[in-house]
Amino acid sequence: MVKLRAIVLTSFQETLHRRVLYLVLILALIVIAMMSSQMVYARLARDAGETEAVTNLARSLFEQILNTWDFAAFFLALFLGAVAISSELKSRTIVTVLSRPVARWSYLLGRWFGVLLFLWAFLAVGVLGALLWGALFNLQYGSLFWLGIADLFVRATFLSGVSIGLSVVLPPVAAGAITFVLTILPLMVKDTMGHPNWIWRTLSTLGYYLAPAHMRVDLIGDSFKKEMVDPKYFLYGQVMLENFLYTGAVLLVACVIFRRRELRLR
Amino acid sequence: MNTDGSAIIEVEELSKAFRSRFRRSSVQAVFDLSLRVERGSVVAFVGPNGAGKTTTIYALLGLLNPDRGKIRLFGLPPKSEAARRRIGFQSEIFHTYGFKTAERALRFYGQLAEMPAEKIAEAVPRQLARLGLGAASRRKVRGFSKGMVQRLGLAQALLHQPELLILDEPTTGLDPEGRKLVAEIILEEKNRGTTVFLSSHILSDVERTCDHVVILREGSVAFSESMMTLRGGSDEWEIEVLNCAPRTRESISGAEFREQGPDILVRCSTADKNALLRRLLEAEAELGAVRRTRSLEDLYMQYAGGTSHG
Repeated sequence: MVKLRAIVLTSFQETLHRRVLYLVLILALIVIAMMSSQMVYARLARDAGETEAVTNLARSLFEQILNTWDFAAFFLALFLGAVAISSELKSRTIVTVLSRPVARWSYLLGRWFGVLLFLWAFLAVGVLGALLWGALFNLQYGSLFWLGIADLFVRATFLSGVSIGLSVVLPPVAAGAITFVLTILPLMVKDTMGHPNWIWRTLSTLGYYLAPAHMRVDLIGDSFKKEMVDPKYFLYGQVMLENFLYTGAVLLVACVIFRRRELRLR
Repeated sequence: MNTDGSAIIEVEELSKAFRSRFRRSSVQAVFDLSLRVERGSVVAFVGPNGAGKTTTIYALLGLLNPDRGKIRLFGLPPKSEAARRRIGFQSEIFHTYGFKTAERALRFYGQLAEMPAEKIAEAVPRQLARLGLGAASRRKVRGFSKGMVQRLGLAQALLHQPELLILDEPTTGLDPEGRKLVAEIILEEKNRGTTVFLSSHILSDVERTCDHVVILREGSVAFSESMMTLRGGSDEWEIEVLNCAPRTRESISGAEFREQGPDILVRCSTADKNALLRRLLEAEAELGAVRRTRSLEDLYMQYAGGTSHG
């Protein structure tokens, strides 16, 4: 447990020292700052007594801030997951670590947990910021809101876990790209599953079973809709659970492969 | 040498080739290599670049899978955690996390070596001081010189007082003072009973510290002998004559010699040595060292010289 904790902490600290993080962070903050210019309209609307317009604007901004942060987390999860092992190979720091009595699975999971810890902290900061914004305008959230927030964390878990798992057998760029394709695969195969050509049909069916579960609703956006009736909590929870299990399965296979893998250093 | 005859490292007919991605070409890094390292001995593993030293070491550590052959460390397979618990390893160029301080980096490696927290707290400052890094313990590694990083690499290998030290070119990037320190530490560890498997290019250090030398050529063992046999087995002698005068030159007429500024080095066989020394003393020559000529360097050139393949 001490070894795993040491690897997790090192992976987390390493993530904090990556330049790409600060680049993404600055870009996200610039986008959010640009969105905040809409505040002028909110102030004008408030002065004019248009409380509903103010609420709508604040709600829209709230969603935009959260979406921007989620997009940044999406990119970081793909990138950080894909390079978590390859960067150690490139810098050769892996040699001394694995010459110690460290099981390969614990090393792989430790690296991932470190990245995941960072991603969850990153998302938590974004969500807290958005909630503070919402509190300023007294926004009311529907019952789906917290489920939507949970989905953000599940998505970061999935993206980082699958990309680190694939990076065991693929170069980091390919691992990140394939993970991205997997996330959009359900949308890609949706319309071709009933295609008259059997090749398309077979490929689509294969893609359907290969793809992770797809959340077909915008949980955070829909949580503001008062007319939302009969929300399928169980189904949404099932989608998240399936994606968790999908990540677990990919990591399990990755651990088995990584156990046998050689360290070819250049 | 505190050996009890039990083998710490056993390698039998190890072969390893590196194939290109599409298997069009391959490089045989190690071929049919067998060696045995006994407990408490200090074994030097020497050979030119590309001779297969690092490949063998990586196979010993379980980082590379052999194509053929058997490796046993403490009687266990190299991937076994129980075996690696008893090993300290320093790579040719030590790579670590630049954002960590020297102290934290060692703490990290101590945790990976399953050291209890109190032992880590005691061992980290001790090893840092031993390697001359005490004053830099709170500095980030990214600000270290190459030599300091290498010393830190040795400190992490020594941290948990391993039974087997595997050092891959530990003096790379070190100044003469650093090299001397490493040689002294190897001797200290040898006296403590640690088995040392040392890959090195610095033959003078090898001669000074090792009990046994293995010369590698093109992935195979070209020569393997104990230093004691090496030191005693030569038939050629070298006599150093300082500030050689004309009278001295007359006394060595007929002998093979080589000039080194005002000094000369006279070569002779064991049979001729005493007579030659007598003649030199009669000629009132100022004598320097008298030594066997078959140095490790001669052997190295004989068995490994002239190879430079990848």
